[in-house]
Amino acid sequence: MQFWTVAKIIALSISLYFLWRALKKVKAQKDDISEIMKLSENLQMMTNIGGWQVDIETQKSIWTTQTYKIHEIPEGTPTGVAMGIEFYTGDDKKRIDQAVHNCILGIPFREVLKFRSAKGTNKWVECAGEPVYNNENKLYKLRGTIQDVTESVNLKNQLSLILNHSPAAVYECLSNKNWTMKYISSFIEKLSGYPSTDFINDQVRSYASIIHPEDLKFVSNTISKSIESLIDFDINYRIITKSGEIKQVWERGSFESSSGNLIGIIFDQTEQKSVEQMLTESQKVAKLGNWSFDLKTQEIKWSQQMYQLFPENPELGPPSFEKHKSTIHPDDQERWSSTVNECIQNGTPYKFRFRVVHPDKTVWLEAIGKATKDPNGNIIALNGTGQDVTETVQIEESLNIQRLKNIQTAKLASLGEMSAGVAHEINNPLAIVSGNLQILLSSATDNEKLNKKLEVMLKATERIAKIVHGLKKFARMSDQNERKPQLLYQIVQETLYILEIKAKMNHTQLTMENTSQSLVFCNQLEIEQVIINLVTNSLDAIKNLNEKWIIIRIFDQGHQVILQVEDSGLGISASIESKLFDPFFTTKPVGEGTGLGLSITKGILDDHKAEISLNKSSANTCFEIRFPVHIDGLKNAI
Amino acid sequence: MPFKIYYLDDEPELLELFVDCFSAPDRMIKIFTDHSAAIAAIQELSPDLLILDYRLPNTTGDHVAMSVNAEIAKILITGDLEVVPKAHFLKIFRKPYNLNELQDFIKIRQKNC
Repeated sequence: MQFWTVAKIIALSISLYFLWRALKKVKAQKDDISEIMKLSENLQMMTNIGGWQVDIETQKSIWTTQTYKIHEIPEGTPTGVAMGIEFYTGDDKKRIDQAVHNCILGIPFREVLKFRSAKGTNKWVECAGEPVYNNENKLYKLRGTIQDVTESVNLKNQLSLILNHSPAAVYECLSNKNWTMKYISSFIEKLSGYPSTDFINDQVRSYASIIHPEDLKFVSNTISKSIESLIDFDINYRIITKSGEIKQVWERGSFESSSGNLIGIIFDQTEQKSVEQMLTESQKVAKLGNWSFDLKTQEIKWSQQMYQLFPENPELGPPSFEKHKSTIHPDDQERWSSTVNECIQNGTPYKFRFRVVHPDKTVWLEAIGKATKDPNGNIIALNGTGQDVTETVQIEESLNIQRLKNIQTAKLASLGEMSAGVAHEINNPLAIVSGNLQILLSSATDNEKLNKKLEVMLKATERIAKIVHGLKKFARMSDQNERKPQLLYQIVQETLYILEIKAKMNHTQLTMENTSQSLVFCNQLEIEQVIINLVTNSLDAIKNLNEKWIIIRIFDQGHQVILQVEDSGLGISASIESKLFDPFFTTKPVGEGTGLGLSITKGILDDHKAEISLNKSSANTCFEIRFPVHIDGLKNAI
Repeated sequence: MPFKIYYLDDEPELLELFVDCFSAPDRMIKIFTDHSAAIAAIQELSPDLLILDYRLPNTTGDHVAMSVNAEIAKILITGDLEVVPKAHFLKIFRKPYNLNELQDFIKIRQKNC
């Protein structure tokens, strides 16, 4: 009996021990569950996610602490499905009701919905739910989460607002051949005419389908290279819009190796391209180009129009600095170099004209340049414009010659007025002398010597009268200052009255040979001025020669009347020949010549459609003018 | 009836020369240096030939010609290079003129008168 008692006690003790151990294990497990629950609650709080559960049979709901917090109602408040649905606002109440209903039918859901808490706080929540089945595969409860996503929805809305108002389409797409869009902002509709939803997952069309067929290969190659090299791509191409319009776009994107997707942004460049084209067109019309010169790399950059201004091949690109310099006219190179160097050295801006020599022409350019400095004030580049001002220069020269002609005309007009007065004052006493001489000569006398001297005196008065009559050409009459058909030799004869005086003073023989019978349509005064200029130049050129003569020849040749002024000089050197007609060019000593005579002469002759040149076939100096015969001139001679 | 010639010129030497050269028994020559005196004389007795110098003090021979009877035969003598008169003149002689040419002209005029 004692044994059995002891055995029972031992057995009881062992049982108690195991019970104690079991209880200890249960407690440890309970502690673990409590810890896990605590961790879960912390996690829910940190992520703002609450949990919920609804028993289908009893309709009893269980909410986690965070779910109560999201609803802003005290923890432990009894809840239910109908009560929970009341927190959703507007159409979203119907949506969640439908979603729960569907979930009971076995369809899980996840919706972002508008929500108002018990305290009236408007929120966005993401509510998700799923059906839970028992071992017999029978639905017995719904379980899910609710997350306060107000902040992220607001951020997303703001981002969406920004993207939708951005003048570019932002996208994320797969790196497949269609570039299947995962997302593309609404600007694509403005750009292409197709809504963005069309492109998402290639629902209606792929983005590749709107790229211009001619550009597709180029775009594909560029993006492939970017994917291979992991370097961002930057590409210009065309798309065809819904209305069939071709638009120029600029796309910049990169390959995200983590997702394997492409992300990027597409800009509408049509307007910019059009502005660029307009600028190019404007530059073409204005014959204006722009350029820059990098001092460090010595690289020149040009706009397209610069290739028209300089003799350079656009396909070869802008020339080197030295080659560029070599195209400038030799007479302008020194000035060009010093001006550009001054800009490089001291940053002095410039605006000046120089000539550029092309194979077939010389172009006048107006260059404007200025220095570009880095933040430290060091000059790093020059930039500016070049404009073809050839026509302007020609017009200015022409106006200058016209102005000089006007001055000359005004001078001659004054001389004309003076000549008229002088002529009268001379002719009156001359008439007295001449008259008395005539009376004396008519009186019979035997003194032959006296008679001879009287005759000499009478002839002298006639010579004076002839000279005075020559002044008539300066006393301009209105009918002389207009163009009409005239015989050249008659005009030349008028000028000879004056020129003969100067020729005699220079001991120069001045003669005229005329065989022309044709009329020339001309302004007498202007042609007289041409002859005076040429003969005066000849007189000055040969005054120190032993042999001094000037011949004026007028003859017909075809439908032209040729007027030659040849003197005993030995010609004009080739070096100055090209400058003969330039304004202010003179070989006379300072103060003796203005350098305007021949330029005025050329100006007058240009107006008469006559050509002046140096006759090189003559052994002497011979200027030759070719006048067109007046249309009726051949018949109407004299 | 003598052939009446009036000559207006501001150069007395030329008037004197004219008288010396052109006086004749069948001519009556009156000379004037002042245009007012000439006009007064013309109004009193019209000449058969009126010779007028163009450039006169304060006037011209053209003006004088227009202020007298238009039927009087007139010739103009001038030292100017170009003159375009408004009045009618039978002929314009330029100074220095050839006396014989002038004499011939007057003789013909006198004969036809």
